[in-house]
Amino acid sequence: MKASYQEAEKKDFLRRRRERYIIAALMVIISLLTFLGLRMSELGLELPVSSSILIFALINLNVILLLLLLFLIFRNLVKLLFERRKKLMGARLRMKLVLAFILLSLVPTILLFFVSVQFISTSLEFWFNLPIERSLRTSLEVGQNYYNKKAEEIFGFGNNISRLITYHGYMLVIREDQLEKFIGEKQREYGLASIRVFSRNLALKAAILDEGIDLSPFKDPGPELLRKSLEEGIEVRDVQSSPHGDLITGIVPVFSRTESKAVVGLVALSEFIPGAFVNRLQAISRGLEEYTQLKILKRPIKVSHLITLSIVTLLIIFSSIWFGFYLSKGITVPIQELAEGTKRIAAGDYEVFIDMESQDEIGDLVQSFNLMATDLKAGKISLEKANKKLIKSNIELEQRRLYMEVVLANVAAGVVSADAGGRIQTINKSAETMLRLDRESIIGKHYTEVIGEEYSRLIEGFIKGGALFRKGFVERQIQLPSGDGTLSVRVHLSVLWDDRRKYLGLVAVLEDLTEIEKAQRMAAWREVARRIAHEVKNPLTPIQLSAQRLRKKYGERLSRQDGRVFEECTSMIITQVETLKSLVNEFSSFARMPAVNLQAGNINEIVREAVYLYKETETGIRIELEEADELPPVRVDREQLKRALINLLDNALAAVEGKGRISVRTSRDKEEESVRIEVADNGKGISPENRSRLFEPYFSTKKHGTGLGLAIVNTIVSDHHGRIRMEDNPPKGSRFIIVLPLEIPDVTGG
Amino acid sequence: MRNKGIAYSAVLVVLLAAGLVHAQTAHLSDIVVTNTDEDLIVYFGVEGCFTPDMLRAIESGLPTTFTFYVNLYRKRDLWVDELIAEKELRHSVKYDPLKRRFEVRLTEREGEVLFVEGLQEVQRIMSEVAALKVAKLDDLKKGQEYQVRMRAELEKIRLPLKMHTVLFFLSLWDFETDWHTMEFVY
Repeated sequence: MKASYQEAEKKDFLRRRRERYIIAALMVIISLLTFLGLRMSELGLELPVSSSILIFALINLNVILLLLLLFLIFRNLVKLLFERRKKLMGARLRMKLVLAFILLSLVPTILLFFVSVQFISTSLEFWFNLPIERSLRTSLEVGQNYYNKKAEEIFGFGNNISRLITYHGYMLVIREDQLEKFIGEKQREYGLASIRVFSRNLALKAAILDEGIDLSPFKDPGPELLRKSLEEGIEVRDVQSSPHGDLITGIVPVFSRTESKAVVGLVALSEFIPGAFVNRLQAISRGLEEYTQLKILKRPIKVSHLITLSIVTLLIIFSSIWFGFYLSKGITVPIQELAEGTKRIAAGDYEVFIDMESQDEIGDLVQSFNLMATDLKAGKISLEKANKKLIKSNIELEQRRLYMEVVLANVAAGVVSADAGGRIQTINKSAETMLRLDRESIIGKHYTEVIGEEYSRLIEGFIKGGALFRKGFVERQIQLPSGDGTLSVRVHLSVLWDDRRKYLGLVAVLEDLTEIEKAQRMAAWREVARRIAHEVKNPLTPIQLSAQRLRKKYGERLSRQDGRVFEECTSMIITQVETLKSLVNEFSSFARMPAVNLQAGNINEIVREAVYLYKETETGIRIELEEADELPPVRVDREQLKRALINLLDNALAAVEGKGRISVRTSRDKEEESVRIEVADNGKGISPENRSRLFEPYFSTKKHGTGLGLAIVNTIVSDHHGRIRMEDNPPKGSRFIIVLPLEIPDVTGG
Repeated sequence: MRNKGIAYSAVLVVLLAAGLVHAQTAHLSDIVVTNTDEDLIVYFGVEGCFTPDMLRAIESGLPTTFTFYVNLYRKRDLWVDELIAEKELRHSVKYDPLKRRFEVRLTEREGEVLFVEGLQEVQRIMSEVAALKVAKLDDLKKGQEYQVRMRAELEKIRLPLKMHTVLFFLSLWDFETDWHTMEFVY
């Protein structure tokens, strides 16, 4: 940005320097030409060619410049009109400025033009008026009359002399010397410059010249003049000019004494007009000459002045128009650029820089604009950076939020949160399952609308009690109804505060303790069973042995009746002790369940073995075995699993009560990646109220039962990382389904 | 660009044409090429050269000079014609209002000033060239074709107050005839 600004500055500086040089050069040339012109006129050099060419060149240059200017002006005007039509930015303002300039320059210029024209016309008319001409002509006439007068005088003298010559016969040869004397006298008498007498054949007979006048520049009268006077018998006049004066010559014929019409000779008389006088007369003549010539030129001069004036006027007009364009450009171009720049900035392009150097307000405006663009660009860059950071942190936040949501969704504990107003904000999947609620229907509702009245009151109690807000949390264990029983749930209710201890709401974490409790109960039962087994087992053997000993010792000795009673009693004792022993053994085996030893095994084989045990023994019951094809090997403890199956089969046999059908089926569940073993009977089934306690120790529906069978099965299945469940077997009976996974999770840990 | 060129040319043509308009009316006439024993001589005159404006100018005392150009060429077929001789004549007239006579000077009559009182006489003298010796007959080759070219023009007039430098564009008294040619075989 800075670099481009500096470049523009440098370019501008170079341009201005170039312009200065050109202007300086032009000024020098113009001064030189003006000087030369002046010097030429001073020297008065008669260089018509060069001066004409110069003027010609100058005028041509003027015309060319004018035409060029005209062309440029019109081109600009047309361009302006088009811009105006297209409604380009700045066109109207420029039009206004240009029109203003045109008017400003046109009105006074035209006014001045007409005034000047009128002035020139009037002046010319004034100079070339009648009185002046008349006076000049009159002066000339004076001069002309003088010459005429002189000529008449000379003719008068000549005629006189001619008559006397004729009378006295001076033309005769014998009288030649008298002739010369005669004309001498006459020359002195009339004050003439010279008198010459010519014969009929134009030979000079006599001549008298005034010694005091230099007549050398003047020629004798020419033969044509003499011949003219001789042949026609008329007076002939001639004027000769010389630098120091004029000579007026008059030729008069001399007639014969005898024949009045016959010309016998000529007399040529000359009078000298001094140079000084002639010059004055010539001055008058020249004055009139010039005046007359100028008068002829009056119209051309007027026209040339008008042309010059027009050229100058046009020059002024066009210059002002041009200046108008130039000035308007100085205003509209920056405005245009500013408008353009503003548009670009609005469109998001901040790489805007207006290259303009001006010392006025427009320049200030442009500078401010450039600064603004720079600032906006910097702001945009920093905004973009901040935006990128924001986006990044938003993404991180979002990822974290999603992660938290995933965690919450997948965590076993249920999480429910409410805002400060008690409206439910979040609930995870586990909580939905535990509370049997649908997320969509409870979000945003008040918790009292969602949970039961009892629990609402409980929570209200916590809130009002003060312990919640004092400690920050409260824990309670509650029982929640579930689909097949109740859930034992531990609720951990915490208060949410922000950094400034502002109350944000509550969050409840629900932990399903049902299974834990079951396991705890199981463990407790096991402990009890162990203790009982241990405590009870010990006295059983001596009791049994004592009874056996009594029977052995006194059995033979007693009477038949007493012996029978004795036998019954001792048998009873022994039997019951056996029963107690087996019970204790059961307890013991329940308490001391051996750890499973998982090996890859064939389920079908194990099932077959278990079923085989029962095939031959029961006659009224049909036992069907359906094996799945190609079951993959499963990691199992053969003996434990067989034991579990035996327990299930025992139960099934008990359920059908001697007559019925038991089916055992194995199958593979590809979706769950597990193997199923089903033991179904069509016995009396299990009532719904008993179902929840089915796998608990010491729960039995049989008359004689320890109630540990299904508990043992459950334990074995759990040890195999499987599940067992019970279903109805319609139309009647029960079905027990064992599901064993194919892949046992590798749980390692200390 | 082409349109501009045409426009400029048109303007120039119009300007030039204006100047040439008057020149078209003056022309040479009565051209005779003949010889004496020794010289090739020509006779010709100019017609249409004296406009009323010009006569007025002459009567006002404006000095007027006619210049006549006579060139002799030997014609050549495949090359530029050979210039054998060129002649330049001047006929000047100036009116003296004081003496009320015209002073005529002719190159043919070197050193002589003819004083003529009548304007018509002046016109006749000014516009006639008689017996102008163009070249010696010895300079010509027998059997060759020759061409005599003649032209007349009015010399630039000196206006009072050096107005001629400013009003040079005036063509009131300007005339210039075309080159007239006359061919002959010697």
